[in-house]
Amino acid sequence: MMKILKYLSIFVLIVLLFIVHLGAIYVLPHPWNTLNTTIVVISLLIIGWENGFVVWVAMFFYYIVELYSVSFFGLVLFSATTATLFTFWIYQSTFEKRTWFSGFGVSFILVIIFRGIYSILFLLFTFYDTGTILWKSFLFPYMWEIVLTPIVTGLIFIALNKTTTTFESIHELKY
Amino acid sequence: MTVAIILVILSIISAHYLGWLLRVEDVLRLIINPGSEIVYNWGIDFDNEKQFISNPEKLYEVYKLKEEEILSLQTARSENILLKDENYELRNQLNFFIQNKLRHIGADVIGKNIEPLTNTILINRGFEHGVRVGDPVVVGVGALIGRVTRIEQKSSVVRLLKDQRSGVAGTVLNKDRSIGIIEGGYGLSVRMNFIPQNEEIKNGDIIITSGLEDQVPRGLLIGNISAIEKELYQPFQKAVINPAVDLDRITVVSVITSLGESL
Repeated sequence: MMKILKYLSIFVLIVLLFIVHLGAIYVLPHPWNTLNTTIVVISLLIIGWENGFVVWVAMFFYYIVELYSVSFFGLVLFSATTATLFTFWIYQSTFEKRTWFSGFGVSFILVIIFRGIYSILFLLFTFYDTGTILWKSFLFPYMWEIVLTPIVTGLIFIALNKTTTTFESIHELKY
Repeated sequence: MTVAIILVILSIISAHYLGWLLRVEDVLRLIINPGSEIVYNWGIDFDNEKQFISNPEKLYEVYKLKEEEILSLQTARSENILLKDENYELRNQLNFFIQNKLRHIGADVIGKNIEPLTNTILINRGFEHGVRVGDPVVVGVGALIGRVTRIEQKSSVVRLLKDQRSGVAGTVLNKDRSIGIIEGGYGLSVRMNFIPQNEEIKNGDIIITSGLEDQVPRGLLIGNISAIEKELYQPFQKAVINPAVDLDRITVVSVITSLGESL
């Protein structure tokens, strides 16, 4: 029973997170609307949970994102989930301390890997479809996202570091 | 864990394309769409608030009225030119028919693109309302904003004119009635390409749909020319278009579902 409630609450939180993500895109002015709130949250979950379960949560979340995407189904889901997985591995093998830098670093790595895989697959599919590639058209949409998302993650990490024990700097890592 | 995740992802993708997840996806959209609509309308209201923070309220009301007036006048002007052409054709033919009224349904915009490389909006009409892929979508008195690119049971995604994968056949209302393709550029601009170099176009010329494509009737207003790009020895010239409608602040649209009698 407790497990069912736990998974149900995770489902509700994921739906709410998606609506917050939409809110950030629709309401915030440019360039803040390029902030990827999902990556901010997933980065913090990677650091806070230190558990592979975050990859499954990310997968379910990006399945919902996929429903509102016009790209080929699976593009965002595959890119984001594998990016989360790789970032989790990198976090486990590279980061030893919990500082604002780890929040910044994890978020930066995650957004770079996600957009890298997404761009490669997107170009493959659209090249097949249209026969043209506009490399510079990728720079502007992603530039702000790559800059803002890690900064915001780092700032939120600092706030959580001071207010919760989950994100405290001196912490025995679980793996 | 890696293998498990890859297998699950591939299973989900396969199940989606096989249609096994249709009900699950419909339930998820049913839960999320109302939230999306609320948040989208907040975004529009917030944008409108920003406009008159530095202007008197009265000036803003007058500005909005003038904006609608300009759109109506542009549409009326394009209809007038088309009517003149049509009158000339009718005089030379024995069998003719009066321009068909368009069958259409109204829809609310409940969301927009969540990916940075696309420019789309989400509307609350789907295949159960008669919407089909490729249907043109208009606002106001007949200004084209895009075409339906994906349909679900109760919602559809509309690809806007400024999307880089958008392409609509257009006609310039100039002396030569120049034709070309209206294409988007990753949300940064709308351009008309493949206009013959030898045909004269100028800033301010109105552009309408040419009617050369299935499902898209002739005469829908697209915008007007704001700049021309011409290179010597090239067979075609290009025009940068100022769309008739602000594609970032759309709240209500109409989907043209057939070229038959209007409802």
